[in-house]
Amino acid sequence: MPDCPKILLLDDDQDLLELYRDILQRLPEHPEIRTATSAARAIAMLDADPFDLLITDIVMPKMDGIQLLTIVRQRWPQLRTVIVTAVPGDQLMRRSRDAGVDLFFIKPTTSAEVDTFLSGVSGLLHGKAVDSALTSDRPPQPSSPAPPPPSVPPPPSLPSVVSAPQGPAERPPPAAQPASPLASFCRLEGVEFALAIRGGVSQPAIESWRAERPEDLSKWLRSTLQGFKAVAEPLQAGALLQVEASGPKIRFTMVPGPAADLCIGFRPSLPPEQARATLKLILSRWTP
Amino acid sequence: MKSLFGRTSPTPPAPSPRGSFTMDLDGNVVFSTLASTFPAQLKEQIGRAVLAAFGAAAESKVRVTEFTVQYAALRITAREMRGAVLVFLMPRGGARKHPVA
Repeated sequence: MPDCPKILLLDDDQDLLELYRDILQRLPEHPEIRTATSAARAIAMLDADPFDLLITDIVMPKMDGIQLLTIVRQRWPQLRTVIVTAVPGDQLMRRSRDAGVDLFFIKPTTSAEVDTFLSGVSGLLHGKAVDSALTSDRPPQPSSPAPPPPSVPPPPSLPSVVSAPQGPAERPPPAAQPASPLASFCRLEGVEFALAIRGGVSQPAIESWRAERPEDLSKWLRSTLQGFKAVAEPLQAGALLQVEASGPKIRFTMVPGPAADLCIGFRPSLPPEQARATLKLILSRWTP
Repeated sequence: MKSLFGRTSPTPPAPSPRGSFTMDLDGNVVFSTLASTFPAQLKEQIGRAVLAAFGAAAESKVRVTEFTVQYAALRITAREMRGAVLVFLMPRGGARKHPVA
């Protein structure tokens, strides 16, 4: 093993990169850890410098981890490789093995799993041959995505009752209805609905435009904002500015205000930068 | 001892926490990269708020897999992950650029 082994860590999620870097720094080998957020960048780094170990995610835009492994096996056959994924499955494990991966891990979330992960990585750095199937501390799972935890069942993504005028976002509100800023927000590209809640917890006044089941949504919005407001003070985090919630079919941004709380629903496929810009525009026009 | 300038210097603000932890659905913190000086009670309080937010979303029949909470001085990102929640704490306005909207 080299004196100070070099590890290249690849994940398109910057937060997870930071987490894995923290975890890997606990290794007794004190490796030098470098990071990349795309396979293309990882290849450039491998071209520029020798590494002892590549740890990569699988699901990434443009080039995924398995495609990268195929290239790595051809160009850097001595490089040891580890796949860490949040999407377990027999098929994925088989494809990874076919691509020549040394270790296959499900993303660790507990101390025991982190210990197992570190032991596997340490073993690889010391050149020990490890059977990737034996290194996962969980049995193989079906190739479909991992099921959600019990507290978050997979219901239909959005409720079905519509409480506000329907129609394409570009359509102006019916003439008989009073003009609402929420309606104008819904005409912006990528905005699916807008909802505002005024008044106290017991008697909230809900105004919604194209939101489905606004009562349920309002209840959730209020309780979520309250919950996160409550931790602001002990955390010394300052004022709560906004809460974003996202899922397979939704993306909401909730903004608390002194007179009203606002919730904007964005099309999930809207690029984050565009959603940010649209929200900024909405908040500049929003006078509750 | 009296300050040379006739007044005591103000207490510096506590540094914002940076790191992550995971909490299982029973509210137990099972793993953490936060500094050991970070109060365990506060970690639990944040984790409980996150679990409550996921739980309330489920009750409202909205499938949420991630929350990003922006405070004036801190960002919290919480992700649902295989029967646990993974919570990241990151000071805002730091050197690092965040890709999350």
